[in-house]
Amino acid sequence: MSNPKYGALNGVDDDLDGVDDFLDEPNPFDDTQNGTSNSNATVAPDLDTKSMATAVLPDYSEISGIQQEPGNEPYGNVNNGSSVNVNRTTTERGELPPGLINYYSKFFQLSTETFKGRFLRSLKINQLIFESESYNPESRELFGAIWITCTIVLVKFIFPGLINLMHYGIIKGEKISESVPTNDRDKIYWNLIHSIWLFGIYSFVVPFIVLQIILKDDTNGEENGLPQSEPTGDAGGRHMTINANAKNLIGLITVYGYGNSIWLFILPILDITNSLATRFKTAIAVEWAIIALAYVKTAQYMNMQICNRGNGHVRLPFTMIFVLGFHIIFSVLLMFTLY
Amino acid sequence: MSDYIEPDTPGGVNHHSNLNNNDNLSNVDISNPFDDNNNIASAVPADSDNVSKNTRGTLDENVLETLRRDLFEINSTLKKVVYPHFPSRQLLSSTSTMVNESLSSSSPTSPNNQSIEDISANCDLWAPLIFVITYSLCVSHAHTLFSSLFVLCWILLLIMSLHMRLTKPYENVNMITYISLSGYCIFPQVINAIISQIIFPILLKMIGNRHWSIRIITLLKLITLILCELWSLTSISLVTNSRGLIQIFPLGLCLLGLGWLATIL
Repeated sequence: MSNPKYGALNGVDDDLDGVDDFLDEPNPFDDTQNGTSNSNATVAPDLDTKSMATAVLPDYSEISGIQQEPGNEPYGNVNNGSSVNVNRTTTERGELPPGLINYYSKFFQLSTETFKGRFLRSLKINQLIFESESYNPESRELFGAIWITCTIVLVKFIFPGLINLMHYGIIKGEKISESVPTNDRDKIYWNLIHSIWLFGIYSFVVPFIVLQIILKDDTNGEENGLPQSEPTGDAGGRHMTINANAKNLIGLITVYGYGNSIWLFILPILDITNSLATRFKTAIAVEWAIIALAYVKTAQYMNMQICNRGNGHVRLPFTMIFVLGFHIIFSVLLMFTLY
Repeated sequence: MSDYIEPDTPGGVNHHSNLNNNDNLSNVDISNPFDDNNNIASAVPADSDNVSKNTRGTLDENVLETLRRDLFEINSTLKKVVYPHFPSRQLLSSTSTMVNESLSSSSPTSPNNQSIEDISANCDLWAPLIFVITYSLCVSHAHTLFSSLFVLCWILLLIMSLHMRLTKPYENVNMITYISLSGYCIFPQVINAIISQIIFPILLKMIGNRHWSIRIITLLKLITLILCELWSLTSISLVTNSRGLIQIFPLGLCLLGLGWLATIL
């Protein structure tokens, strides 16, 4: 079938390869032949005689519905006090791939009140840091774990130097560079490095190991016909179940991160005690006693956050033995490396 | 609709308002594009105001002139970003009012956001580089610690910008801009480093190493640290539109680390 558009060229063949060889074939750019065309598409007028093809422009309302610039969206930010949660909006538009920075932003979206509430609850006894024991993806966050750990590292770095500055610089009126031995000053910087790896591993690597044990423990429990995610209803309650929030990596890192908050107060006390250790030999014993108290508090916190409560549970799960074991190793390493 | 395609000039010259542009452009000899007399921009007479200051020609000027102009540009950005935010009673009262206003109406077209966009559009990494080098030189006294401090400064800038990017995913500001703004906001820490590591020791030498003079200098060091910390923190929180404990606390932590190093080393 000849194409009526090219009336003058129809029937002309010059025996050479060229445009005239394709006159009988359908035009792939033609609107009616285009498989992607739709009823709402508008055809732009061919104003330019030099243009080779007719452009098909879809309706603007469709484009605006599909392609929205993130910066122009009216979504509020939880950190700014707005009530719209970014987690929800992200889920509505589909999950971002983990390669993008914005994927991780959902773990940093929490209000100041939530953070303060969790931080204070982590310091109290018998309080859950999460708002409920049931699994809630929106309650997962990394902000607390990362920045509480960073604050502890910075406090450990600043406080001994501040004690020296107060003691020698202000009270005694001596130059720190002349009064404090070089070894002691170097120790502050070595302590910074030690505290970075120690708290880094304890807050971000240990949760990963513990999660593997939890999952294994969970599987064994299921094979034995024991309930897992909810507290047992029977009077015996022999198997203490794992809290749903502790069954994923982010939730467990959050638990460990907030669990570190006790060290924000313990480490300065230990620094003061350590500065007195040259005068009083009993100071070392006091240091170990403080560490033991911190251990008991943290162990109670871990038990509270990781295990489900209620219904008269009498036996610790297999996982808790590892959790407490890792915490003993951490506490002892902290004493030997930082003090 | 015409076939005319707007040239990709940084100034965004408005050709639509000049109907006789074609006449002007036709008079331009394009044989030597580096020749000032044949500059296309000069052939457009009416819209010289629209030509951006970023239209730079560093090939035909001497190095000193380029450096001087760059320093003036850095200073003009500092005037917007850092200088007005020195912690004073007046600023603190105005800041609290600003925060209340912005909390009540946080529209993307607010004047505050527009000023941030203006600053973001002209961001650079030269100023942060200069500040980081100066800080590292002052604190390390040009010894072996310099490289560690240099790397540490850039890591902290990266952490700060990453934090802002993560906590404010819907703001149209990229990482480089945040690094640049954070870099400008460490300017008070550079001042802290210069005062603590150069000026105070010179003063101490002049006065003599007496007990009371050491006490005063130590106290002054702490006061300078606190003032510069507040200055940096106010600047960065206002310029990057950071509000609330969640956004400001990590920034303060990073800046405190920098300031403390300058005080204690």
